[in-house]
Amino acid sequence: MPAHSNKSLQHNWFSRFIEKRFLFLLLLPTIIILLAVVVYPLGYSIWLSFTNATLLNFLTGFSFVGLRNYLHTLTRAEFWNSFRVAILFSGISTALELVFGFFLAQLVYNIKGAKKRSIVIACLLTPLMLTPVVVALMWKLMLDYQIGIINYLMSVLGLGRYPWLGDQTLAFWSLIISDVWQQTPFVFLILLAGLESLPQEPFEAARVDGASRLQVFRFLTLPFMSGPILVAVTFRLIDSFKIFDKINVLTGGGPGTATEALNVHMHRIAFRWFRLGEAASIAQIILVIIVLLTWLALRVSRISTDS
Amino acid sequence: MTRRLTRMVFLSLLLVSLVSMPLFAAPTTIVVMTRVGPEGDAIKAVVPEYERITGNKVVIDEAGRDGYFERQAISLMAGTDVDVILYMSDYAAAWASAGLLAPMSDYLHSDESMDLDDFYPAMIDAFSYKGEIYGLPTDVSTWLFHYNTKFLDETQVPETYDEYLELAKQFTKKYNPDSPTEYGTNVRGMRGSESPIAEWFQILWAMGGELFDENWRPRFNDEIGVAALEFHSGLFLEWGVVPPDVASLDAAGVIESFRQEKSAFLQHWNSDTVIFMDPERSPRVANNLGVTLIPGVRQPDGTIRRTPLTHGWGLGIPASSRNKEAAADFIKWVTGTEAARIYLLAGGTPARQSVLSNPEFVSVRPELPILAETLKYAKAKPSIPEWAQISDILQVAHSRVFVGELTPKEALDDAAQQVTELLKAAGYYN
Repeated sequence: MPAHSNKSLQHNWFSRFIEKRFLFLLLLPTIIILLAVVVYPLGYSIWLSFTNATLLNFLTGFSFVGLRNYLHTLTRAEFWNSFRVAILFSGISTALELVFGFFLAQLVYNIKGAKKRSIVIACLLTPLMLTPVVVALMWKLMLDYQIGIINYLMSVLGLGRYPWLGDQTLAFWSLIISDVWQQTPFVFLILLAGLESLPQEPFEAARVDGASRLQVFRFLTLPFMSGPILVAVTFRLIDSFKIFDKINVLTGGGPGTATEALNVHMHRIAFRWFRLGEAASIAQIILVIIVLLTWLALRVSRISTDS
Repeated sequence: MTRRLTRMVFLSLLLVSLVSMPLFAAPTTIVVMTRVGPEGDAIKAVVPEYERITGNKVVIDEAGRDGYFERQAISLMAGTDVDVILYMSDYAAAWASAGLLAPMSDYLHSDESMDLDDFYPAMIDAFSYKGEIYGLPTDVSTWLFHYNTKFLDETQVPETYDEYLELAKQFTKKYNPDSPTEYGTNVRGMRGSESPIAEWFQILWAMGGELFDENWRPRFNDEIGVAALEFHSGLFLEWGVVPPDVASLDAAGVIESFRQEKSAFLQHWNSDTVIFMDPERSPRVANNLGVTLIPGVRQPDGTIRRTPLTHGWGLGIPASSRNKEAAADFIKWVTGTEAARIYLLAGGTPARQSVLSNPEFVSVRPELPILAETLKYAKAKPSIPEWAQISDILQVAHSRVFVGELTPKEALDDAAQQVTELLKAAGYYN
């Protein structure tokens, strides 16, 4: 019967299509979502960065201005100040988080007993569970000159009181302290996983050969850990370079412009100055810096694994 | 055949009901965007009564305080389904010039019961742009002088800024070891809000200065402007009558300091007066709170020139709203005399002269007479689309002075140059 064979043919064609495109079909929802929430906004923002769009002319019409926003941004002292703040903040906080994270990971790694260890890990991870805004509000209260507990404790100990957030240098370091407090557990977690997956044989061999603790750390632990360290550093560098929430709550970018990191600066240009095009150009510059950072990290990791 | 007929009847009924649905549609639903806080709470308090009277439905879309302005800007630009927005008068000119708000004059002037003259004129001006009204004020904000009666009485209240400084010294341990408080008062210095510069404006205006001349050339960096900022920053840098972390003090910081009796007096927004009067929220100061006019500058004839700053919150209609008529009705009702009563009891401060001077409310809100008096001299900021940018330039300049990075003269000259460039680019002059 022709009708029947036609149907089976159709069926075959359909099932073959499904088989062939099965993976593609499974991925389709993700691809659509990514196109809608990543690719389209990114493209739009790149386009905006070449226009003179502001909040005020957004509906009434704006035009293409070529590279003017980029030239304007890159020649302003305020941009370079924010760039410096972001680089310093990201570099210093990542370095401190790495040192403390490694130290904690070693400590916990040496704890005997799974139960004891899991309790310690749970406690250490608590700061990571909090949202940055909550952390910033907590620190803001603790760092207050008149009613903050930090100054109270310091004055009890005879160390004096300090305007933690009211002084340009102290405010910068207060930000770093709050970030290190919250993000060290992240580094710790990655490094602990790294330590736990280390091969045991080289360490036993080193012990048999009578290597000192420092030698073991220098020649075995560090090289073996370079992978996890790079992962942690890359994540932290990128994340802290983009910091906005903590600064917005703790200092608002001040005092003066001492803590105005790039994202805070961009927010100011977009929403206090209404200049969407110019803010978009800053966003693209931030994107390029982050891509460069990631590329650098990957390169370093390849070199270190090759050696 | 019968089956087909039933099916057709059924389908046509469905079609008719679908088409006619809007005609019988339930009461209009208005979406109102408000901000968490006293202003939003007061609006929520009047909504049930409005719904009962009109049968309309009101959906409150409440957004957080932080980033409220950003969210609002994006929502207005995207043309989302919001019919009424609660917004600050500072943005009226900007939103109106950008075509984001619908003009309201037609709705208002056609209705005589509105009694527009009852609103504080400065507040209507604050929501106007090029002769058109883009919102009606729900809340009026200005500055009051709050003091703790445990430490000082009425006779000690400063009339002038010089007396203010002397009083602050008296309550600062550095000058007076017997002072009950370590520092006399507090000023706001944290960036990201206009309040720090608002205090400077008030001093500048009282001294006879102006922010701009009639051609929009900056005047805030003239002798008076510099002297006013020298005084304001001097409270910290020169005399040290405020805590050393003023550059990071936001609203919460100064409020907390006064509530915890860490400072003897505080000039701040009138919306905080309600917080200080509430024994639950401010157990230490609620029963010993004094409220009066902010200080000023004594004139040759002996009078005091006080220039408290005022701005307000109000309700406007987004240009994209599809229920403009209903939205206007809602706004008229909420800002009307009837709702003002509920609004006031809920902690809001309606911008109507007849309400604030009504003796009936004084027992619940004892600060009202002082507030009404303050609003007689209150001064508004310039209502131009570029205000937010100008304000930001001045905020950064102010902050740089407070940390000792620049002198008042240097910071204001730099700010004046930036403002001139900005206004030049906007076509105010060449």
